[in-house]
Amino acid sequence: MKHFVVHPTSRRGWLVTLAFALLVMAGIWPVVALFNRDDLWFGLPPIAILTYAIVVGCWVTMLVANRLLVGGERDV
Amino acid sequence: MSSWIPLAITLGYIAVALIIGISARRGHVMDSLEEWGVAGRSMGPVTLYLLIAAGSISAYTFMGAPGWAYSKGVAVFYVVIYLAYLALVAWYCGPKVWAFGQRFGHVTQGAAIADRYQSPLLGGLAALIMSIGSLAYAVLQTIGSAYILSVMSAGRIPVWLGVVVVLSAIALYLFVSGQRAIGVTNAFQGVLMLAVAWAVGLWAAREATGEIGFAGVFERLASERPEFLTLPGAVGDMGFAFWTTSIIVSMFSFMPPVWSQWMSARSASTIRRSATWLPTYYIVVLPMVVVGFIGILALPALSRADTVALTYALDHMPSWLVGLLGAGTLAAAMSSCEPFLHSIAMAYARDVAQPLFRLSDATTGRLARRLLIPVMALIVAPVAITEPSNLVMILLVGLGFATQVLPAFIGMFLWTRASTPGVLAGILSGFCVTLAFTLVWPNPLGVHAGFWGLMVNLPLFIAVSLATRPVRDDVVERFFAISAPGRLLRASENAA
Repeated sequence: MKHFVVHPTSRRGWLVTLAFALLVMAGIWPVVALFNRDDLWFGLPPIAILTYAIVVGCWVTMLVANRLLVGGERDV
Repeated sequence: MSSWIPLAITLGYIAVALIIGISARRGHVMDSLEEWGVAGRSMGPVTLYLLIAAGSISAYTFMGAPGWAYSKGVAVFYVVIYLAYLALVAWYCGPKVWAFGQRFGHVTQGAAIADRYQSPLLGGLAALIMSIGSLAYAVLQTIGSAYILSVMSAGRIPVWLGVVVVLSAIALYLFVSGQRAIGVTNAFQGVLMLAVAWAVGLWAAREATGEIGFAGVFERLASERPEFLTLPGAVGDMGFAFWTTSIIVSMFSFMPPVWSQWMSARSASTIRRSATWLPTYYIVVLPMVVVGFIGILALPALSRADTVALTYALDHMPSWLVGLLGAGTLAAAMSSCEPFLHSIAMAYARDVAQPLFRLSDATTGRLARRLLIPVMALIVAPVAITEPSNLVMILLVGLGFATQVLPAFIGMFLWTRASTPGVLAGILSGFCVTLAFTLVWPNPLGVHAGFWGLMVNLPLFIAVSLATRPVRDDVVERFFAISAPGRLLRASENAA
């Protein structure tokens, strides 16, 4: 058989993959360094804000992905 | 604290968990792995959501996380981030794992690996390596449980007795009802933890600042102890490298209980719906972390950081709330401990004993249930009673080892060319490097030992896979008809 690496096969699949990758990049260096400040945003440390932004981002991205990728398009 | 109320509430929680755990059996015959192991693949989205959520919120959330906030500061938030990423992993891999189980009859992670690579040796090895992490995790939760009982009884229940009480309760309902007990008890524990964490966090914030909200806590810290609000934290040991690699290592730890949870779902879409909502549960961590931050100024001389939430509660909260915190913490510990004990027993029976002694499926099912008791009595209980090392370090070590099985999953979900020798080489090399960088030279250059393991593991896995014979086409096609539907067909057409 011809071997392959699995990747998305539709534009929507690529979009969801890109969103997942951006979310993961948002939680690690160097992005986290931008939030590494000792002032407060909305009463919380910036790293806490980043953390819960990622939590909400993951939830919303999966909600959107469920709508984008229906039936056979679940291929990310 | 001399009041009997906290202990009564905590023991009451154990009694309720015991009753609902045992009654979860509801006439089902539990001597098959299909029933005892994955609840007949019957769980709906809400139960599955609470099962996975409560399973991932451990004693760490109620003890270790406030302790990290107290000793290191915002470094503690890495846990929330990797938990959110685990939901992404569940969303992508969970439905595929469920389909593998449903079509090929897998009930354990090791069985799926053995099938994909046509190697019982690899399945058994992966199960054994995973069991190290799983045992570490179960011990961690048991220590947390026993400590809670000791504190709630004002020292009248010693740690050894707490270990015996908690493990006996878990053993009883797990033996009787298997994965169904884990489902219903985790659902109960999940709701309890969410309510308790927010009640305790908001009460502590009002006690410390006079307002119901967390802003006042952080305003005081920003002016008096700003080093707690940034990395590398107050003791300087959580730099960007350790933060980043800890998150990566943790998010790729496909722990066996999670695998069983996915396979317990009613359908593939059930998993996707549960995974989608999973991040919303992790707001449970925030209030407990705030209690740790409050402790920095209120309890400056604590000798053991892990105790900050309980110590603060004992000093500043009414006994009913202390009791609820005890019950919530115990719920967190037990809800994480029981899936790991269950998966260890299944893995030893299905992935190690069955191929080794050529046991029938029926005998393997009975053996898995009965192995629970020796695993608890001969491994988890004695180690927990000796209370080794720091709680969080045990967790990190466990996840570091578990991550080394990653090549096996890459070959299942992403790369058809992964070969058996390639996966074996990757796992063994990663395991050795992680072991060396955990015990001999801990986390060189501030990078997580498990990440060093991956850096050796993955290149070796790819190189050896390319240099050795791939797994039989029919097996690969069977798996990738699920992992990459449509893609396999096109690849075959191109090859023709």
